[in-house]
Amino acid sequence: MKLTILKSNGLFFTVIFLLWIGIMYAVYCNHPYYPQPVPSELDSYKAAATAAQKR
Amino acid sequence: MGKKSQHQQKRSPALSEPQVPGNKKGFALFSSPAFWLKLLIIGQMALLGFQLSPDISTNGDDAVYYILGKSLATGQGYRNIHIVNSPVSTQYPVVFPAFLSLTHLLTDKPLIAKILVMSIGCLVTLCSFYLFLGWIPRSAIPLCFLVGTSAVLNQHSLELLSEIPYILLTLLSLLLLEKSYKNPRQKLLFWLTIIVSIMPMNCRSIGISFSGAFLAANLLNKKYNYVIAHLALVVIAAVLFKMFTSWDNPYLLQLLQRNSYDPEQGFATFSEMFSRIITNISKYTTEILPQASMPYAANHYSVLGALLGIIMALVIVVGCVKNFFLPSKFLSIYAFFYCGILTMWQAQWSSGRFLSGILPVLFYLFFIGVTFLVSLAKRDESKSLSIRMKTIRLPSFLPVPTIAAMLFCFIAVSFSFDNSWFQIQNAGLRKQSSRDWENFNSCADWIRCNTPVNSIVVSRKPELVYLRSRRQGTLYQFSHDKEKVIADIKNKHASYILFDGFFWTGTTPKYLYPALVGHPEMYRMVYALRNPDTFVLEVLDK
Repeated sequence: MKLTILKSNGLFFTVIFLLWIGIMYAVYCNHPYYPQPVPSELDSYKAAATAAQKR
Repeated sequence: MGKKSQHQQKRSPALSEPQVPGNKKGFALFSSPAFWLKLLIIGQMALLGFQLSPDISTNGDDAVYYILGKSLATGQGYRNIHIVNSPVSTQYPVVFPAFLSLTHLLTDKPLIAKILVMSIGCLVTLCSFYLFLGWIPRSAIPLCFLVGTSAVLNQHSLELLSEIPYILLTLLSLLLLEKSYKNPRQKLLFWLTIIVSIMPMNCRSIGISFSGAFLAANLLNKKYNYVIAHLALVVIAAVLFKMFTSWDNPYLLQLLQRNSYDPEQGFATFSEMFSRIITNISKYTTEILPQASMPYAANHYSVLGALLGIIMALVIVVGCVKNFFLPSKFLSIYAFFYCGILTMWQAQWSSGRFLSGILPVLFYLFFIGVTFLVSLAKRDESKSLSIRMKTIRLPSFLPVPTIAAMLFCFIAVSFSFDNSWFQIQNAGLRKQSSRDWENFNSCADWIRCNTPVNSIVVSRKPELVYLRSRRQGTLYQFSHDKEKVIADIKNKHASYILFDGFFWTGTTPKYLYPALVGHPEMYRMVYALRNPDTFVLEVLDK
């Protein structure tokens, strides 16, 4: 009795799961996991630090 | 649990497809559990898909799980390959990394792993339905709406954490146990049940509460063969795991420490442990439980949330006691053990994450508590267990199950609406990084692009640096002794230091900053980002 719903709707759940997994993969498969770093602000940081020291 | 419940014997009319005349067939759809279950699963998939971010989250633990999976898949054993010298992992149970290792055989990106864990989240809802259908058939669908739309559970379905696989394993184990009780001659089913029942303990350390409950419930049910087989397999699995890794027990150490972020404070005394338990009970009742139940309302109306949490906690306690005398007594014992461990955990870590592992069980106990309280308030001659209250009388034409079902529908609708709305509102925030994390990630990207492959990086989150920069690293020492911190950096032959500007923790300014200020000759700055100030320092004096 308990498994009646799963048996009668097994195909539905299988299809919906596979479809959903496929959509998720298709949407995000080109996601950039390793982007380039943003330009360093080292010079601006050092200039600000020097200015602060002079003050 | 072995006996067939009264509910179970009566449930056929509620579950079978309703026999209705042709002109009323449209309404039959809405009384079909299958219809609501399909709707719920599709809704949950939509909610999860809407919130998915393909990156590893900033939690840290999920990165470690993912790396351990990689270590297993690449034949390096069960090692923290992101740490210098790749030490054996002693802190994380093996089941979830073993599952993740399968995805490493297909791809080196975490997308498939994330989609699989999301699918497990949906399977938890399906599994909850079939488990609770056996005990409270008329309330299984409202209960599953609580599980499927829960913001806390869905949040953990979106991260590579072991909570969701753990819940699935506990529910599966209970389903199999129930089936095995009904088919005692099936040896294959018996051993499958036993094997699955030891999985929760090997998936999360707190799974020891599940094993404890398994032993206690089977002892009470006089199912001694289950007790002996489970105990034997648990001991064998634990010994084998320790033999292949280490006999250290960091879990117990963390439980007894005053503060793991300041280990020099030592261990908690008995009175401190007692005070920790009280603090945790208060925190879980007035903050975490309401946020895990109705997050939107709890975040906007804190007093109302606290009140809701206290009421829910009391009803859950009532349900837990009542349920102990029902066939599903396993869940009462399990909730008692699990929550007992939760209250002893360091209060700084108390959060919805740790509660999520038992949330479906708490919802079930809440429903049992509500049903019992309704039956108390209802004068019903036929109910031998009900205690009659003379002062409160509900209309006699409404039977207890009907009143309870109406209440459950109300709870399920309000809960689902609140949780779904909360998730929709916060979906954008979930995908965004805060400035401190943006800078930290960019530093890791710079290290990947500009440093030798064998560089060793000191940082607050070496696991995330490893995934982003592909460089091994180490965490700086949590010590107030500056020289100790410097000596540790030198001993590990670190090449770079990633100095973060994290808003969420203060350990870097507390431990690393004073040590670096005392030794300016040791490093030079090679990359810097501002707002918040985040640097990569090259170590000169290695």
